[in-house]
Amino acid sequence: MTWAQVQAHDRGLVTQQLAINLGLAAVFLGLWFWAKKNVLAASVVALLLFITVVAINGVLEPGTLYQGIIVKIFFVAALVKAISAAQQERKLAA
Amino acid sequence: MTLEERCPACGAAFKPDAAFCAECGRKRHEIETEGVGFSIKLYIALLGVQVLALIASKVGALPIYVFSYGTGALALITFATAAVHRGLVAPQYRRVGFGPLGYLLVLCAAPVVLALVAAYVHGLERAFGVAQPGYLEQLGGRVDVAFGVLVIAPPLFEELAFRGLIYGALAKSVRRSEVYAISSFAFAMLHLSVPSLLTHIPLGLYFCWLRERSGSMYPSMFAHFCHNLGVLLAELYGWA
Repeated sequence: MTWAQVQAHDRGLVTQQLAINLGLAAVFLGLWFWAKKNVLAASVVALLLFITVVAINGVLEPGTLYQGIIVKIFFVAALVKAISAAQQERKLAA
Repeated sequence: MTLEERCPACGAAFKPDAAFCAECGRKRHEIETEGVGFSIKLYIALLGVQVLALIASKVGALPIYVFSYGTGALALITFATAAVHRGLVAPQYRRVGFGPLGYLLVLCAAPVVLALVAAYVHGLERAFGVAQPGYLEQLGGRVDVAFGVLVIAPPLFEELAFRGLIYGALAKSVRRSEVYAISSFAFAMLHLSVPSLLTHIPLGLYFCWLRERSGSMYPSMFAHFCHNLGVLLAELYGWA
């Protein structure tokens, strides 16, 4: 591999990482819109996606587990609460 | 063509305008809340195995062991859960689902699905100039192991987990469209790759549709098997 090829490969990795983060942002934005129509499904998917992303990041960069831990706990609690409230609403409506 | 609604408990088709299932007597619109919690817990258990596999590969474990033990652990959790909650999946294993023509159509659809997935993966590799290592490359060229952990095991336990247990539990608690969305998202996310969400969510929806349309697990297992076999053959013979 030449130096130029190594540089191109590294640039590709950086661009790929940026695209992945932008893709994740787009997915969460889509979930926000979806939650306006269907809170339960959007909240469940958001919770699963959030836990997955935090877990993967935690393995790849263990330091990220503690970064913003309060916000992470708050997000998980809010999503669990949203799921619970949406289920209660369904039960009452049934 | 409209899909006939099936009882989430026993899998029998509801008669039009029936309030109860004619087979098991379950209420047609009964709402159960524990299905969502069960699905989340099962997903987290499976995710835990994937995370452990990721840690193992990060600390230098050989990919062949990571794949083999990871697949074994995922299968073990899924089968143990299914043994405890067999009521969720047993009826779908008692039906063949489709006739020979149906299975032939599933077989014919497999190359089309595989071509779309391969085109997307190649597009990504070209766009970023980063080639993803293939399964065979990661497994040191061991075709027998690749056949086991890629072609045989995933259609068995992934279908049981996502189109069996999670689908069955969610079907008791949420609307059909939500069952499709949540189980397909979960299926895609468990592969731990954001780019592959775009291929695995449609794949999950397709497998869900097969499960719903047939009232059986076998068509989606067969479709999954054909797809994964295609992935392995494409890599083996350099088609993709």
